[in-house]
Amino acid sequence: MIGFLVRRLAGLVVTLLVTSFVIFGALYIAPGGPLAYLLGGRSVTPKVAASIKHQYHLDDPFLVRYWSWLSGVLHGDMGRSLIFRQDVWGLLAPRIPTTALLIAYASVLIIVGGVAAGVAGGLGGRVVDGVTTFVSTVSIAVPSFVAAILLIAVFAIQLEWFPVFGSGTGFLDRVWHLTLPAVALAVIGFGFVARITRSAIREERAREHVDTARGRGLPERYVVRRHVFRNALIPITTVSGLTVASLIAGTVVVESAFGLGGIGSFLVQAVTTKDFAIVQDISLILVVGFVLVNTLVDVLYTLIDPRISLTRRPA
Amino acid sequence: MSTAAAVAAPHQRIFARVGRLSRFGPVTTAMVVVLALIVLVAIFAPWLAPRDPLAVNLADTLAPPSARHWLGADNSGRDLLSRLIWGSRTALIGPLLVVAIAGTAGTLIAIVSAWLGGAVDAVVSRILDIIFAFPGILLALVATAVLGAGLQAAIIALCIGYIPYIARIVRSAAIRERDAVYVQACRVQGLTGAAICLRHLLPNVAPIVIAQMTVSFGYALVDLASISYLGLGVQAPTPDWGAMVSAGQQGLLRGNPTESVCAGLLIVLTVVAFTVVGDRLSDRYEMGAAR
Repeated sequence: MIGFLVRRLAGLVVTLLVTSFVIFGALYIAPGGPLAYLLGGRSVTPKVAASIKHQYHLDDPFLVRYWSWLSGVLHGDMGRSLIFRQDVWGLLAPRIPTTALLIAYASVLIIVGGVAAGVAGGLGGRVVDGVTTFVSTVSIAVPSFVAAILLIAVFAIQLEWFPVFGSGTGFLDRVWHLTLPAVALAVIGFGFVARITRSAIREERAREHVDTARGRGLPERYVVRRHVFRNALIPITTVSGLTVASLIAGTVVVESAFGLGGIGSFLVQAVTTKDFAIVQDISLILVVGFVLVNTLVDVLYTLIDPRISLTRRPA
Repeated sequence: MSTAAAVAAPHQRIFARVGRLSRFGPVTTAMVVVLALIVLVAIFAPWLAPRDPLAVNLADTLAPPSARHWLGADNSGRDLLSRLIWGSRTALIGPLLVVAIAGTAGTLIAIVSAWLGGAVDAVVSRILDIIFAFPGILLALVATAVLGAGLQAAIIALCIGYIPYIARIVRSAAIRERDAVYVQACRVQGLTGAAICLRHLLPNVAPIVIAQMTVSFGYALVDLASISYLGLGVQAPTPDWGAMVSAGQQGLLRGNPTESVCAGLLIVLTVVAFTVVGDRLSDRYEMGAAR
């Protein structure tokens, strides 16, 4: 048990180290990097260029710069944005709550809505099942930005129930502003969770132990709760977790579509303006979030399902 | 008598084929037809588009549907229908490249890794896990930061990003096949590993590769369209569905949602078609494996 957790933790650290190296390395080799921005198109003598490089530590060897960036990040110093001439952390800190709230809101919608729809499809008759299957199949194919413009067209412009843009102030106002974005972000995940829930429930209902329980004369509600749903929970938990992890990258698109001031839309802005310090830091935050949630799901899944042995790596 | 039978035979074969297609059920059949139509539209775009998709005419800015512009015109007075038709090309070419390259590389890596096993397999799985740590869209964003905006950067990024999705599934299928009796029979006959993999193992995992590539095509389409929507993929004035959803937002706010909505719905329809057909193919493979 402890050995299993230690192994997982070691794997996690290695993955994070390599990913941070990849992120830093990719932007390090990018043409037209920070120096080009600092010069702003002016042509300078090689001597001046060298002194500017020296001032911003751009002339240090690659590994030295990688290490100073990584150790800085670990100490809470995320470097400086060359464009804003500010510390990156000072720029990110006010934007993180919007992104976090958006992800949390969408996760709740996905898990509650997806499981409810999946259970309805799994237990319902032909018509209910058909409708659920149709809705979940289509919703998997709706990119979040398409969902965003459809929601804006209907609920913000036609019906005027929700605001079109902005993230609001105060908690309730924020939730209200984030409702359409959260729905747009949740659409794909909802479809996945509904589908997996439906097929897990169908599969469990057809199992022999469920027939046995019915044969013992247990009431149907009890059979569904204790024998069908509890077993179906294992795939449902896994898929819900993986879906929530995928939302982390999805915020990039949704925040841009609704003009929300989170770190996702800020990343797009930084990519456009080639503000590499910000691109590196936000990419790192998103990847760390994604990997952490994935690992957590992996560990949880192994702990929930007593049939999986902890001493062997699942194939 | 014999000539009549020879003439009738091809017809019977065609009927048998249509019959087999209809056994997929009405939904899958409809989606296969949708896919075929979209591909045909993309191929014959220059002949199908009523107008030049790039011709700007400011007098027609945001014009409503008319005999001149069947679906109306966009912000710059360009014909929407023609832009949607031409947009099917960029919509399909990007994912096609991603799926072809990631599919080939992923399959190769998976089979070699499954066949050799041991340390090679462990290292490959570890590398796949690390690529897996980058969500596709994030990888594409970082690539556009490095290589500059454009579809090229995003496609390169997704080619790498999609390898693990294909390799993981193919690897487990290849491991199952590796231990099968027919492979042992081949070994006894003295065939080399490369020959067994290429001539026997590959054809047996091919159905799952194709199914997985079909599903991935839909996801790659969504990722690439998202990048174009963010303004970092296909650049103006080239017509592209993702970029059109974004461009149409101006009209949307002024009460003319045609451009955004039409482009968005076309993306959804195409992705639904790929997912349904891909799922159907992988169901068939699983049934075949269970038998």
